[in-house]
Amino acid sequence: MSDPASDQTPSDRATTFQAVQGNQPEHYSGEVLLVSAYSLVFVILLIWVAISWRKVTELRIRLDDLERAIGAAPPKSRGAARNGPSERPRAP
Amino acid sequence: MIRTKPEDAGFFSLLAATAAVLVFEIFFIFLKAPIEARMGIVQKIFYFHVPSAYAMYIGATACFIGSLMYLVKSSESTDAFARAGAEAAVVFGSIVLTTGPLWGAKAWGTFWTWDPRLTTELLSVLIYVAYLVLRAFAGESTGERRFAAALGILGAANLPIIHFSVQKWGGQHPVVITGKGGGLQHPDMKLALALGFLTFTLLAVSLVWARTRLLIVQSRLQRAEEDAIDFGLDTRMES
Repeated sequence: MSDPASDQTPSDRATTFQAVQGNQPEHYSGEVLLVSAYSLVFVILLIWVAISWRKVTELRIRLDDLERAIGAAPPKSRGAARNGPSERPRAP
Repeated sequence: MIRTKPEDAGFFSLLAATAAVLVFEIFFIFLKAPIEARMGIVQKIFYFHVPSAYAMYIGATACFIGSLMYLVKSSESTDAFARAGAEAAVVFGSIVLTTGPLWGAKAWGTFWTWDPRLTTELLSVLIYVAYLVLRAFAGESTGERRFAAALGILGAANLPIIHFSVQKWGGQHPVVITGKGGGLQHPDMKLALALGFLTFTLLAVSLVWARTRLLIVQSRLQRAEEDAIDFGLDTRMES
């Protein structure tokens, strides 16, 4: 079966748009498309869960650093918060 | 560069398996499993509805175990496990309470009826909603956590009542899965349901695991911030 579009020259194809005559055949199954869409939504949802897990991993690493800084803080720094923020040692 | 731990690899493997089974399950249900003769395509809700109820039991069981362990020996991890279980129970319970009425509208001609199983299911979901509301608004002290743990144990007591309500009190809710082989007449129908159970088990485990870990980190972070303020450390960290 010849494709009407391929019978035309490149200049014809660039300047004219022709409607399909008669019953238009369905090229894709609506059922498959619907199922694919739902699958995609669920996969995106699971990717979001994976990204959240990754962010928690980052947070945990920063938390480990903070806990190490607290562990290494000298006893005299206790109560330094009352002296103002400029005197606070900074966590890594 | 984030350091990858064995726990991360395990979780990502579980999540990849969940995604693969989930996609296959959706394709199998809608493109392979046969359409039921009397109810038509609406019957396919069944393959999500029943496994969701089962996943709710998984979440509720996690909440029960975590709550019991917390009452025996208080720790952040057991408390977080109980809370994550309650969250999963509410999520999957909501799926059950959404898909069930959609099926009921076709099968019974009404979205809701005060059938024993429907009522006990709603009651159970409301108990876990109450648990989460309590945890969200009552603070993080030991007293509130212990009270919530007692509620988590009480919530689990309702699960056998949901399960056996149909046998004990009758009602309209059908019993398709029985010990004598069940009412699914086609092998593909049975396979679709089995895949549903597998999918929702993996999904429930993934979500409970992820939420437990997040809640533990949140709790640690809160404690570390309090310690840092007490030590006079500046808790603002560079990103």
